[in-house]
Amino acid sequence: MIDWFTVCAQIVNFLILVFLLKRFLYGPIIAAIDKREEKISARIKEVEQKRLAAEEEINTFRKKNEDFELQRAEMHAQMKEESESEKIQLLEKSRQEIEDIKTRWNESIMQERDVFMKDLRRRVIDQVYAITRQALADLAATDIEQHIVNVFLKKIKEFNEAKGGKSTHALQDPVVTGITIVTSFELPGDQRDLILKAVHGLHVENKDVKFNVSNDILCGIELRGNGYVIGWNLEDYLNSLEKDFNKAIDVGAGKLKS
Amino acid sequence: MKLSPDLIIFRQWGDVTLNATIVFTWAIMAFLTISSWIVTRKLSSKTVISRWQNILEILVTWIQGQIKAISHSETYRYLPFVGTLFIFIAVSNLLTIVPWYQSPTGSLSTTVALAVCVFFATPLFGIMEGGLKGYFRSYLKPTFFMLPFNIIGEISRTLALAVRLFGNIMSGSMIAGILLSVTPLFFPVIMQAFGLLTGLVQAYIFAVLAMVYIASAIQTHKRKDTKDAEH
Repeated sequence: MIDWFTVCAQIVNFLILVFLLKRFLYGPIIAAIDKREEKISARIKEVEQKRLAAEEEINTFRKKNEDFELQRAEMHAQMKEESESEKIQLLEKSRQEIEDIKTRWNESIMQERDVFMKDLRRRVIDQVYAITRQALADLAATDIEQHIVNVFLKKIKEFNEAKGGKSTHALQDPVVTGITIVTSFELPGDQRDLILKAVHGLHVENKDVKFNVSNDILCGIELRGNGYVIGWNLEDYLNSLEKDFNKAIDVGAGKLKS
Repeated sequence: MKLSPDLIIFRQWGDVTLNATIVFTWAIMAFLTISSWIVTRKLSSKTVISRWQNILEILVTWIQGQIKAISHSETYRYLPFVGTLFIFIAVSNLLTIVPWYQSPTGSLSTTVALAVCVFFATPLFGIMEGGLKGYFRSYLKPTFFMLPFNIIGEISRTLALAVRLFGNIMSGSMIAGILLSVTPLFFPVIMQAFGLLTGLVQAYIFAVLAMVYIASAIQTHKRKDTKDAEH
């Protein structure tokens, strides 16, 4: 039953078949499978790497978002603080400006008042002077300067009487080298003589008496020596008048402020 | 009716005979080689592959899976031998549906040839795995007196392997022939279909047994390695 030649031939055939199938079937198929598995595992690895990279990126962005949120909150707080500070500064500045304007306005009012008062005073003096002159001229047929001199002489007399006719008083101090009669108008010669006589009555014959016309005095006559002053001046009345005016204006300004 | 395709002789030159067994074996070899070459010449390593490549991949990975299950080894070393055993026997048996075809596995010479191949392959793989000394030492296990029994066992199982395949295939053909003469219409068809199933089963059994023998040869060495590692 067993043909040994066939057995040998079949053994050889089988071994050849093993070689052929290894060459044309198993080898290529296994290689293709291995290559595919390699590709798949490489792809899985790549996907895993991408996943990790994506996760890392997500974490980075999350952190960035958190940082941004934090930064935004900080900036918001800072801006709020700055705006608050700016608001306070602006308010303060506005208040200061208002205050400055008010001060300037007050100063302007005060200046205007001063100018007005000066002007008023001058006008009042002029008017009073003119009225008085006119009134005195009309009533006593004398001018106001004469009347002023009379009043001055009366004052010297009163001063002398107040000292009780004593020969010692401030004007007699040796320090006083001279006595000056200051007037707002030019004195005629007779009135000068009257005045000199009255001054000499004060026991100051040794003193040099000068007559001087000055704008310092608005309307009046004064005796000046060693800081001592005897005289009459319309300015005193005007000062009183000015004081009253100022008081009235201050009351008005106070009402405006309120 | 001839019991074996060895008896169908086409040419004869002295002791050299060209019988149906050899001719049909060549035909199967040509068929398998050419079809494998046609499919594998345009193999793709992409995820989308051709239908035939898919079939061959399934077949090869299934055989490798069986080998792995038996040998507990990842190596492709046994795949060409065991796989070719299975594919050759399976194709030889399945082609019995072709008229005038004579399965080479119906010849005792072929099955003996295959069994001889297994007989020599078993120690060869054993030696490749554990070395010459290591393999032959397994014949002295568990004691020296077991040497004759081990040798007898080795020969008898090879003989059984050859006779089993021959008997099954030859008996299939015999039954089909007998039934054809008794009930020519219906039963031969069923028996032929049944023969396809038994042919595949026989191919599987032959390949698996061959692998079991090879595995037993390499396991002896592996067990020794494990024991050494434990000590």
